[in-house]
Amino acid sequence: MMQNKKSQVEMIVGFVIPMVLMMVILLVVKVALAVGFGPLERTPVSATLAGTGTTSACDYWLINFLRTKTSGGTYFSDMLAQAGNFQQEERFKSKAQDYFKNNYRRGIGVTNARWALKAETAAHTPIINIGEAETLLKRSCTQKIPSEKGPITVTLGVDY
Amino acid sequence: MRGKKGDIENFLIVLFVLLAIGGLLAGNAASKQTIVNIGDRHALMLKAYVEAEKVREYFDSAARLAAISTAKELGATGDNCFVVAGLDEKFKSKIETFFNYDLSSDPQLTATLPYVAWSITAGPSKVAIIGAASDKIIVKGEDFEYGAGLYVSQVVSCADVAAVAQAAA
Repeated sequence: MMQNKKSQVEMIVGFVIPMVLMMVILLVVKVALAVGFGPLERTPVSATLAGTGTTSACDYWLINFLRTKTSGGTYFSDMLAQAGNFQQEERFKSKAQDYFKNNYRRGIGVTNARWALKAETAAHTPIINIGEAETLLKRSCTQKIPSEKGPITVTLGVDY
Repeated sequence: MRGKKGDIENFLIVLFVLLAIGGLLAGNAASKQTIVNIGDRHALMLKAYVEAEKVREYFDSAARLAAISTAKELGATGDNCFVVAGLDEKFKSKIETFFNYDLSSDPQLTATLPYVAWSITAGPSKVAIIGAASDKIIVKGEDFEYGAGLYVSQVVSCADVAAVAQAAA
């Protein structure tokens, strides 16, 4: 009787201890995966969702900006296409800053949103550079606009 | 003897359970990898759609700019700025110059532009521009292509010409 009980206890202990150990190992693995140390972190998921640096929202804001008419009756894209002198540049800067202040920051309700806009020729000659330093901004998008001297590439950088 | 046999049985049970759970985890990781690949492709297809929208926007801007530049170069000013000789011919030759470039903005995609037949109908103070494409805008990715329709319709008034002239002054 005593011998039988002893063997039952041994069997239970022999089974329960490895099971508890196994559960602890599993828990550690799950926690590691959840906090991002697992192999999934290096899969293309992170590359696709966070690494491309572009957003549809950015494209939407940029195209909307370019097709907006300023108070002077000119589209922003047409102003850029005709850009060429300092006075024009200053006028463009002032109107663009007003636009982003009123439509972008207020529109998405984020007061610390940052933006930068730059335009350059096909030969990468800068035409305009306004807003905050583009290198600091996480997402960017581009749009080409026509001009007499070849397409101008307009880049918007955003962060929020 | 009995105790040893019991230990071996228990060890085998635990080993079996561990292997089963290991298999399940590996399977789970494999299925996540598949989802990743599908997501990649979807993201690229969405980008192709945006790319086509950008090309359409370029066509709209080009039509407007070509009309404004044409009026300016023909010396047309005032309220009847489009009543000038040679408007149709000059507009058509000018607008073609805007499309001699690669308009793709995403290195993973290539946009091929269709031939567009342009027509310009001038009234005294404004013009209506229609661009009818012979085919679709084709945006090609690595293993897919997306076709987007194109139809350009723009109205440019003498006020637009004057506004651009003033902005450029």
